[in-house]
Amino acid sequence: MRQIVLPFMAFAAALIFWEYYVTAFEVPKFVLPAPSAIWASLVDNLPLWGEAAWSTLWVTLQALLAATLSGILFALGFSLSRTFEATLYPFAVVLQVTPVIAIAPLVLIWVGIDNVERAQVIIAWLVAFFPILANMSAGLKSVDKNLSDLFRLYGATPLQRFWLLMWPTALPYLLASLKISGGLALIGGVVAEFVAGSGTATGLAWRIIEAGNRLQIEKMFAGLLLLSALGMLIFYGFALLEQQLLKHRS
Amino acid sequence: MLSVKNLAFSYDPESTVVNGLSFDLNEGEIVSLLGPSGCGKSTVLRLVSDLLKPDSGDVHLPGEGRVSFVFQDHALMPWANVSENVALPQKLRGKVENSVLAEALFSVGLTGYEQRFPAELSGGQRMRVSIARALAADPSILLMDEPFAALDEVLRFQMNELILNLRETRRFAILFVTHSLYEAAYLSDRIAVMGEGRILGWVTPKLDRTLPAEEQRTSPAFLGAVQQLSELMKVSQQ
Repeated sequence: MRQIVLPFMAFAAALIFWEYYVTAFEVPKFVLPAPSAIWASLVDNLPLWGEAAWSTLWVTLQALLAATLSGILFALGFSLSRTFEATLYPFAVVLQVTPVIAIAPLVLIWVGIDNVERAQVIIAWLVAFFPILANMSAGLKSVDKNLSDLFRLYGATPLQRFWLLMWPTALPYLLASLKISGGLALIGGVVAEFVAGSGTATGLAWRIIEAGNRLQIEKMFAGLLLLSALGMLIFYGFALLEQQLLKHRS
Repeated sequence: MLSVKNLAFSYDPESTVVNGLSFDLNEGEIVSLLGPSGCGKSTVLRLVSDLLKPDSGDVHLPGEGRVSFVFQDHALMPWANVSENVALPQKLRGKVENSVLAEALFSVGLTGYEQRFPAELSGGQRMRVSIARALAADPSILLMDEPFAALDEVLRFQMNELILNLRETRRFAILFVTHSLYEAAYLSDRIAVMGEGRILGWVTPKLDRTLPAEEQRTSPAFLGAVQQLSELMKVSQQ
């Protein structure tokens, strides 16, 4: 309970102070709008915000699904063949360490001219892929040696070994990586929208740029608020899933 | 039943772990391998169960011989409940018989615990589940690798009684690895003291099993066996 109440109270106190400060010192709206103004701009344009949030969320979810499937598949390949791992792992690291903001324009030119959403999904996938691959790889390698011996002793088939031993062993690692990659996919999607620029994307990031161009700072804050809310939704959604799926293990 | 002849094995060419080891294990017999850490006891169990291939020598197990393994760390699946854990050998072999599972759980005193998960059990209960899983494989030989080393003394005594009872009712042979000479002297029909990958000597306690456990543990036969074992252990540690 304290974990919910304390952050909520801190947030409320900050909002009250913010509202008071802006009103009392007559801070211009285009520098720092009052929380009440931000809330009003959110409520007044609710359908627009809903559409934009859904657009960003949809890109994030597609990228996350692609990252999960490809991460699992590659990790499985790594666990089956050292050669495969040695050959491809450095490329996965390259994907991870190259700043996505620097790759985004290229991806947009290659695949985004006629379909910007496809480019957004690819860019978001690029950042979400590595944590899943790395964690899943570690998970598949962390199989209990004695348990593994028992599977051999009792004549397990490769498929039984995967479903009954490797997959459940790696599941906590996968779930932990989803919490990280969920947030990263959202960042990737936002970066792609920023790079794509005007008139093409329809998500939250674009709405923020648009509002910035018109000096509608309260709309910028509203967009930011929604982005944070999406990030929290994704993180806590996966945290809840993790708690449910692993509740018997500890 | 099990016959091991001139077994030799090394993980690397520099050091030999098992070096010319021979022994037999008869039906319903409990044989312990006793020795200091690193003397090759656990490796022998892995060689007998075919988890490792010997460099030379022979492990002969009759066609119908089925081997089960119990490890010190239980090696239970934390994501599976007791029932699923015990069913593992049968599931892997393609046929789960609920009556066999129920009997295995009954044998170790865990009837009613089917839906519990390993995290909800005590160390002793986890070991019982691990033993029940081994029983569900219907073994003719049970291999036990220091199974009770992590348990406290009281639990260890309880487990020793459980093993003796199971041997009486099921008549399987047990190859038991331990570094406790008291445990070896109490449980075993014969004890091989190992050192440097070989058997240095045999001790046969010949306890009177009709006596209560406490009397067996203070009987001259038991104390004599402990004395012999400790002398052989001194040699093995030199």
